[in-house]
Amino acid sequence: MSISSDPKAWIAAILILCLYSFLYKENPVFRFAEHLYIGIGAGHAIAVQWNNLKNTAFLPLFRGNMMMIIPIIIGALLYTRFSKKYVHISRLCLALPVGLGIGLALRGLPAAQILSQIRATLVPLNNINNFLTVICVMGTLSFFFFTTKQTPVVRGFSEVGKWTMMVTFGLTFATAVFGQMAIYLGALQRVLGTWLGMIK
Amino acid sequence: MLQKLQSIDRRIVYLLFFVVTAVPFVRPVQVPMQIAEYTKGTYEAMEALKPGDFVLIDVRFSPASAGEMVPAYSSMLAHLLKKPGVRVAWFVTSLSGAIYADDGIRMFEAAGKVYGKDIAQMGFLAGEETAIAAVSQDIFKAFPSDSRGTKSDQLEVLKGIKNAKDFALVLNMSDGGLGPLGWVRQANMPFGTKVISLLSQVMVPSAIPYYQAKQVVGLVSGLQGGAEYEQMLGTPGRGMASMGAQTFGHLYLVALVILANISYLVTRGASKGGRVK
Repeated sequence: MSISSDPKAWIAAILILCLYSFLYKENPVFRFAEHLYIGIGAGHAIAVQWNNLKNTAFLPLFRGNMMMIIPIIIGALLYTRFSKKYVHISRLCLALPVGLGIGLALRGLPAAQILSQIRATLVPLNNINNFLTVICVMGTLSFFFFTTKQTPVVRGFSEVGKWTMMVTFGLTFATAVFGQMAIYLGALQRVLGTWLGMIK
Repeated sequence: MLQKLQSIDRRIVYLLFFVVTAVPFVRPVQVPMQIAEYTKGTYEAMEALKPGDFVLIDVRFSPASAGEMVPAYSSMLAHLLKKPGVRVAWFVTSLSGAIYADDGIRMFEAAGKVYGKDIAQMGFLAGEETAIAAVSQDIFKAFPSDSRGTKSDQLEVLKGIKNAKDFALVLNMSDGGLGPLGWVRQANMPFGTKVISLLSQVMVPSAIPYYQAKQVVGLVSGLQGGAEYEQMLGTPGRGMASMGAQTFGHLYLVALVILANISYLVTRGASKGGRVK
């Protein structure tokens, strides 16, 4: 065991321990680390955003690209939401990025999420995986047939769909636990390995 | 006994969890590991890169998930470093992604790569899918200058590159948001660009359909994927070191779930007239 002499390793490990002290009970040390994290995160976000504005808007403007005045004005007008009198201007300005985002998503959606997925489901039924894919897709779709008469066949398929969704939700929950544990293991490695030097 | 189990102090559960996960780090345990098909797909796509190819890395993860993402991220960068003449540019779609993009730049510079010629950090662009669409259509318009303020048309690393058609590969490193979907919609479908995603484990089930539809050529699933990648690369690191602890941690959680359910079922039976011993 060789304890690190790097001050960064010490700071990181002590803050990790401060944060995990919450598992024992709420305490001032935890709150200090929590506030520090939030403060540093907010400060870093402001710095990155400013750099983004500088590089993508102000620098091109000062280099002679006068078109940049338009997005800068639209962006600045978003702050009219703080005025009761001019709040409608901010709504107009907000409509622009919202509309743009929806338009971009819709442009790619039919090909990326409908046609390609249907094509990927049309597979030869020559192995158990393909068979399960087709049955589970059909079952899940039939679960959402609310306008069709519930014949025994439709009910049977929708039962398959219900179980398919249950398995999927279980899998998603398990991977969420899996992911949280991975984050904890990263912290543990930092304390036991980088700081205390207990991991060979 | 079972009633005692139901009222056990949660701090004892945490302490046992710490012991179960810490011991395999100090006394490493080898656990068998299967490499997922989609991790192999990632490795093969990276292996197929040729000198002069241009790779764009989109970093969209934060320090909160670094423990899960960094082992795989580092391995994938190490793999890129093994490919001579491959040009790499980072761009960031989450605020704290810049930390890891800069880490990548430092790693490449330490290996002798020259900033501006072999590598570049283009900086942060807000809007996620809007940003992806802008970069896919014209990287020079999306980034008139890089994160250091150098004009993009003066960067040798971007020579001959205009839109997503010119990207040999896009590496999307994501712990939230759209995952690979933004790249599938804005780069893969319109330009046929190859996309690889390193995702936090919770996002992987929702990304598998894109892999099956061949819209994404490879996926890497968080820490587990990092361990798999390290194994394929032959360079054991933080991912593989965590596998023993992860396995024992999972076994502990499964045991707790089983015990809690048995305890619940038995005591529920007792409340309906049975007896608990």
